[in-house]
Amino acid sequence: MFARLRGLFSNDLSIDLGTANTLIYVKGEGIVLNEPSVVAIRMERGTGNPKNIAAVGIEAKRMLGRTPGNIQAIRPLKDGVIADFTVTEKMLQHFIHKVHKDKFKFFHPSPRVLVCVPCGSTQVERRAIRESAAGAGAREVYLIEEPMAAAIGAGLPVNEASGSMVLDIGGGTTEVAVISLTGIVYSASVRIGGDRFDEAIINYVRRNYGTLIGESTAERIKEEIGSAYPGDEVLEIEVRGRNLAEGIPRSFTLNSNEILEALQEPLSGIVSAVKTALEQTPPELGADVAERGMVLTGGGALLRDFDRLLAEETGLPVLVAEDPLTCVARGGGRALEMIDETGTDVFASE
Amino acid sequence: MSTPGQVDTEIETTAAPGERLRLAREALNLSQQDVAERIRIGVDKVAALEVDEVARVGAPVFAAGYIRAYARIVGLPADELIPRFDGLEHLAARPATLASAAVDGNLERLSAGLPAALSRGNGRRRGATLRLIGAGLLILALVGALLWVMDNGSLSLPAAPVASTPAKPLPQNALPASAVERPGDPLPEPPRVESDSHGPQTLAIPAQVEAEPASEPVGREEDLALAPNARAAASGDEPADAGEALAAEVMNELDLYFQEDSWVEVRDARGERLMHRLARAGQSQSLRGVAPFAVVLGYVPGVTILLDGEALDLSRYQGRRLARFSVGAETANEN
Repeated sequence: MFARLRGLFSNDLSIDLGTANTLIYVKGEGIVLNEPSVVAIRMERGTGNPKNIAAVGIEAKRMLGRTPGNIQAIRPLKDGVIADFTVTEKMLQHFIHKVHKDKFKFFHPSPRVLVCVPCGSTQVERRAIRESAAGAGAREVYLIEEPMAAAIGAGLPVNEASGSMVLDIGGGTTEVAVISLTGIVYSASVRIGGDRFDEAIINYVRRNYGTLIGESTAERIKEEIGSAYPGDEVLEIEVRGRNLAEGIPRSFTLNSNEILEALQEPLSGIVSAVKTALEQTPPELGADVAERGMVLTGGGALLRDFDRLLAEETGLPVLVAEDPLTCVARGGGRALEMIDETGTDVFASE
Repeated sequence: MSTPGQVDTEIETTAAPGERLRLAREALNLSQQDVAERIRIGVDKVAALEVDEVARVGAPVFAAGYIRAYARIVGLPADELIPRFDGLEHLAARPATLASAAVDGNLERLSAGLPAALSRGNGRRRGATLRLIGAGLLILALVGALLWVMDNGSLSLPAAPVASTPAKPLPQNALPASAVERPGDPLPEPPRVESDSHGPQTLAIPAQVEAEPASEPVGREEDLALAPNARAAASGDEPADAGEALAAEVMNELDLYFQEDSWVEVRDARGERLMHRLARAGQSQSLRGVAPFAVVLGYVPGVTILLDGEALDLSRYQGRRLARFSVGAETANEN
């Protein structure tokens, strides 16, 4: 009962708990938080080594790879699911508080929370997400499968009896799904995402330049010159890394064709997942998809010319949703609003 | 063949966005078929876009996607073009605020060291202030309501006991009008009936009502039949005291004696509620109003009713606890 009272002073939240970024959408306010899913933990010196949170989100991400011995910057989610339960709970708690910060300080927020889960996640993984949201102070926890949230957020006509195909390329996973009548007809999840792109770049640079670069650098390379399809212009970027042979940091230049080559392996993984999905889709729905096209959401959709690659590979129209990064969180928010209208059809069972 | 830049300046003045696409396409010597093949959609959709019929293309997300692809082929700025189509206006604001915040924001924020990108910080703060004020008002209202309830509760709770206890020997004239009208007065019902009609009577009636219980318990215990007579005598004097001949003609008197606890509700012909409470065993109540009276008794066996001094036969409700009936001139034969 007290929780319900506190609920009056809390907002309903839709959380896109992603491997790379966590987004929070508040009903009526839009996206209010968009931070990296990174937590920095400080080990206190002394008996028992008690741990406490040094930083969460952007601050913690800046520490990634730059921490002294007693601080550990970690990403509590791997491949779209929880790898470190307690840290995830702390991070969620921090974010939920942050969203409610300039509201009522004397109440612990106790919102209704909707969390997006990868469609390939197991029961145990879903339960872990539910528990950690509840542990972070949520009054009620709903789960929704990411592609469903992405489709709603992208504005696909999910209620209609026609097939809509959505490809959500997140940090840890890529989800592909065909949706009709507010239900998922086919879905698949491959554990390839933005992180794998970064890893591929790191490996490529080490192999070809004998130089080690960090995750943040790799991400910056991907954002600035990364592309999925050979373009008309060649972009260049200057980066710094430690030369493995000399052991000294060196500066060198990379161009977009090299990055395209580096990204071939993860990209082909995603393309084959899409092709498999098209193979498995019932013919009527497949025809709908062929007529209208598939929609890309998630941060990966921002990779230059990714839509073009998929269009060439599949021969179908491929569209990038408006504001692909926030589609899942927005769709989750919309689903929360739909609870009152259509019930809990769209939610995932545990 | 002209470059996209030239095309753009040539057709910039054209209002219709579909027309701009068409002109740009023609400037590049492309047919609708060429564009359709490159976007991989039907020619009919390309044609529909060129005449601004977005609804024919499908859901807004698809229409926007096709326009974006089309604009890229012909070298027009899609972000500027899309909001100009009917039905796609809502897509205007999004890329400008959220997408840029999300895409570029990460790096900018990292370098600037700003805390979370709350792009709507000001709006949210203003909202929070409003909420705070709202919550304050709500709390005030709640406290007010609580006080009101407590106030009423504390006054109405003793009401029953006071009525049931043999009344303190109040000086008859000492019961002022103000006391009668005080909210939550021990015997609110009868006085109110009278106070509505006549000033002087209000003084007389409460005095009589108050005085009655004093004599009542004694009489009731010994002989029920005796009580009505006593009551009749008392009521016989009353109109003379009031000096209201008119009222005496119209008003009827209903006396209730309770041997057991019973819920009672009495309304007279004017619809006025004369009594509405739980009466305790041993109490009695005298009511004045215009007959017929509508009576609801919660526990019939424990109540004796006298209309103008005449006992009513309630035997036909004997097997029951709850009874609704009316008492008075027109319905006399019913009883």
